[in-house]
Amino acid sequence: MATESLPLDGLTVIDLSHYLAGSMATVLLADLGARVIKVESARRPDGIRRIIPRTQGTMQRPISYQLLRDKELIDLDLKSEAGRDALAVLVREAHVVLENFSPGTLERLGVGLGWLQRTNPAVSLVSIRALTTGTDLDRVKAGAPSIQAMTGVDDALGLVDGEPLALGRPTGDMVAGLNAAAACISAWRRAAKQGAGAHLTVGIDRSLWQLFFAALGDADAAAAAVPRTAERGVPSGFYGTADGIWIALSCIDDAGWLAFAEAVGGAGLRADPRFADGFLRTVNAVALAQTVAEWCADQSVDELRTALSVAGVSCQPLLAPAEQLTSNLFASRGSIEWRSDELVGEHPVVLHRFGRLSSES
Amino acid sequence: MVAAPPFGDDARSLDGVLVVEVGELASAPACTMVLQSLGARVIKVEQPRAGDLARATGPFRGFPDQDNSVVFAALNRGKHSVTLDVSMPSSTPLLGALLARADVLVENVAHHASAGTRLDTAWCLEQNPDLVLCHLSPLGLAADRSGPQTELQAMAASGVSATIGVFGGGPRPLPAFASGINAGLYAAVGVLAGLAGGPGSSAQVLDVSEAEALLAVHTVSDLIDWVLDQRLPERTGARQTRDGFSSETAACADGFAHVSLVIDQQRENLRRAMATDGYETDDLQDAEGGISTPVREWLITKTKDTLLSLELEQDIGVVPALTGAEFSGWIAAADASGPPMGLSVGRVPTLGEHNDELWPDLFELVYGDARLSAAAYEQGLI
Repeated sequence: MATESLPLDGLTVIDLSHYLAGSMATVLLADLGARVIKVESARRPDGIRRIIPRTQGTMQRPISYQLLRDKELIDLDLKSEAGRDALAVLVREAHVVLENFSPGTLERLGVGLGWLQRTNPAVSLVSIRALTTGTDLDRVKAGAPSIQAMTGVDDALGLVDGEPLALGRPTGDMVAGLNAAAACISAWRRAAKQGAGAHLTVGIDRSLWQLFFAALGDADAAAAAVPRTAERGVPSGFYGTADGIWIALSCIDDAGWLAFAEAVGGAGLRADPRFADGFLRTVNAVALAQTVAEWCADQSVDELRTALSVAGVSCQPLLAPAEQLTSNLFASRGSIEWRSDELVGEHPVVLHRFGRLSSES
Repeated sequence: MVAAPPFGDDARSLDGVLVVEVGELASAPACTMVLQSLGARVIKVEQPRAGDLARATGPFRGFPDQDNSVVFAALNRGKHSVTLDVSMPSSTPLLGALLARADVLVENVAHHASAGTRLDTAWCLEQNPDLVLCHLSPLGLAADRSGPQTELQAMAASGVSATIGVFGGGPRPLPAFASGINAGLYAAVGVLAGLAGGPGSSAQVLDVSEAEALLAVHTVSDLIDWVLDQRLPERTGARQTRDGFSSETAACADGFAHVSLVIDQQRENLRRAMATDGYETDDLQDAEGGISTPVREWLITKTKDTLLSLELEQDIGVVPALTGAEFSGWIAAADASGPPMGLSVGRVPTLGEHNDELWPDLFELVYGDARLSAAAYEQGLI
C-alpha cells in the first residue's frame, strides 16, 4: 500500500492530559493523521496506566492499550525549570495544547494560557473540565461515574418507578473526548486563518447532556420533568430467548407491527383490538411488551431470526466481545486491528477509520 | 473563556462553509449541530408537510405540535430549514444543484431502501467532486438490508447495553437518541478532519455506523478485557466496579447519592466523616465490591444538600445523584455564571422557513423559471 495521506497530516497536538477524556481525543486525532506528543512525568505517570490484578497475572487498565497507542511519549517534569524549557520547545512547534488539570493548575506550574501564548501566539489551548456549571458544584472532584450520577444520567437509565442504574462505563469522559477532538481541529483551522490561538473548554457534564438530553432536558425545557424511558408504543427492546441469549427487537411502524404480529401470534394477535394502531399500542404498552416477551422466551435465536426476517422485522442478538471481533459489522470495515504488547501480548484495538476516511483517487 | 459545547464565538472556524443535511431524528442532525456551532451555515432538507421525524417526537414544550418538540429544538437550533421530498424522482436535479454549491453533505436516509440510490456515494460525488460526504446509519451502508436498521440493533451489536441493567436482569437500552447522537458527535470529528484540507482538496467519504461509533467510544475496553483476561461485561445495577474502581449510587435521606471509593484520600475523608457520626468504618466495601452496610446506613441519614456541603468541605467522594431537572434547576437557582445546559444556540427553524431563500434561485438555475416552485409545492415536491 502506498503511503496514504491522512486528513490531519500537519497538525501537532501536545497532550498534557491524564486519564481517559484527553487520551480519547488524541487517539482519535492520531488516527486521522495528527502528530500527538503525550507529555508525562515518570514521577507521576498517567493514572490510566494503573496496574490492576487479573486472573492471568497483572496488566494495565484494558482501555490504556487503546488510548495510549500511536503517540509520541515524552517524559517531562513540568515542576522543574528544565521540564518547562523542554515544553516551550515543543509548544513553539505545536498547534494545540490539550489539558484536563484542575482549574488553576497550569498557572501554578507556570505554563498557563498567558505563558503558552507568549511562547507561541498561534497555539490554542483546549481544556477538559468535569463540571462547567458556573456554580459551587464545579469544585467537586469527581470522576466520570460521579458526574454521570450528578447530572441525571443514572436516574434517566432507571426503570420506571425503579432505582437509578449505572452506565457501567466512563461514558462522560469518552464523549467529552469526542468534543475535545472537534475543538482541537477547529482551533487549528481557526488559528491558521486568523494567526491567533484560542482557549476552548469542554465540559464532561455538557457532553453527557448532549448524549442524553432527550431524557434530561434542554436549555428551553430544562425545568420540565422528562419521564424515564417507558415501554414504547411498538415492541422495541431487549427480550430473552430460549437459548439464554438476549435479542434486540424493534418494529418501527404499522407495517412492521402487522408483519410481526402475524409471525408471532397469527391472525388473533394481528386483530387484537388493544394493539390496533400506534396510539393503542402505546396505551397498552405493558401488555404488548409482555406478549412479545412470552413469545421470544419460547424461541431459539435461530427460530426467532428466521421468523422475523420473513416478517421483515429487525432483530440483533446482544453480541459478546468475542463475537464483535469476528462480526462483519466491525471486522470487515477494517476497524479492528491486532497489536502486540511486550507485557500482555496480542490484543485488539479499534481504529477510528470512519468507514475508511481517505482521499478518493 | 467559553464553556463548550456549544462551543461559543471563540470556536468559530467554519465561517463560509456550507453544509447540507438530509437527515432525520438524531445522528445526522447531531453531526451538523456541531458544525453549526463552529460557524458553518447548515441547510437542513426536510420532508414536505411532516418534516424531520424528530418534530413528531416528545417531550414537547407546551402542546405537542411540529414546532414544539424539545428533541427537535435541541438538535436543530440555528439551522436553515427547507423542504424537498428526496424520494421523488424530480428532486434529483434540485438536490444535485444544491450539492454543487455545498462543501459538506451529511445524511442518514440512504440506508432506507426507498432513498438509497438517490444519495449514493457515486451520484453525490458526480454532483460535486470536492464534497466531504458523510453517510450515517445504524449498522453501516454495507450491512444486510432485509429489515430496517434501528438504533437498538446498534446497541446490541456494539454490546453497549451489556452493562446497563439490574443484577441478573436483562440488558437495558440507552435512552432514546443517545446512539444516534454518539454517532453524530463522532462523525463530526471525521467531517472536521475532512474539511481541514481546505478548499480544492479532493473528496472525502465517510460511512459511519452507530454500532461502530458505540464500539469505538464505549465498548472497546470490553474487547481488550476479553482477549487479555476472558472477562465478560456484567450488569451490576447502580454499581460500577470496572478495573478495580468501585462506585455506587444508593439511597440517601431524600433521594439518592453517589459514593466513589476510587481515590485513597477520599476514602480516608469518608471514614473520618462517618466516624464523627459514630459509624464503624473498617470496611467501606462489601464482598461483592459494593458499598458496605455501615456506609449505606450512614448515607440514609444524610440529605443531598448535607452531602454536597460535606463533599465541598471535606472531599469525601460522595455527591448527590440528581434527576436531570434537579441538576439544571440547581444551576438555575445558583445564578450560574456559565451558559445553561443546552446543546445548540440560535432560533429553532419552523418547517420550510427558509424555502424562499433557496428554491426560487435553484428553480431558475435548473429549469430557467423561478415560478415553477409554486407547482413543485402543489405537487408535494417542496
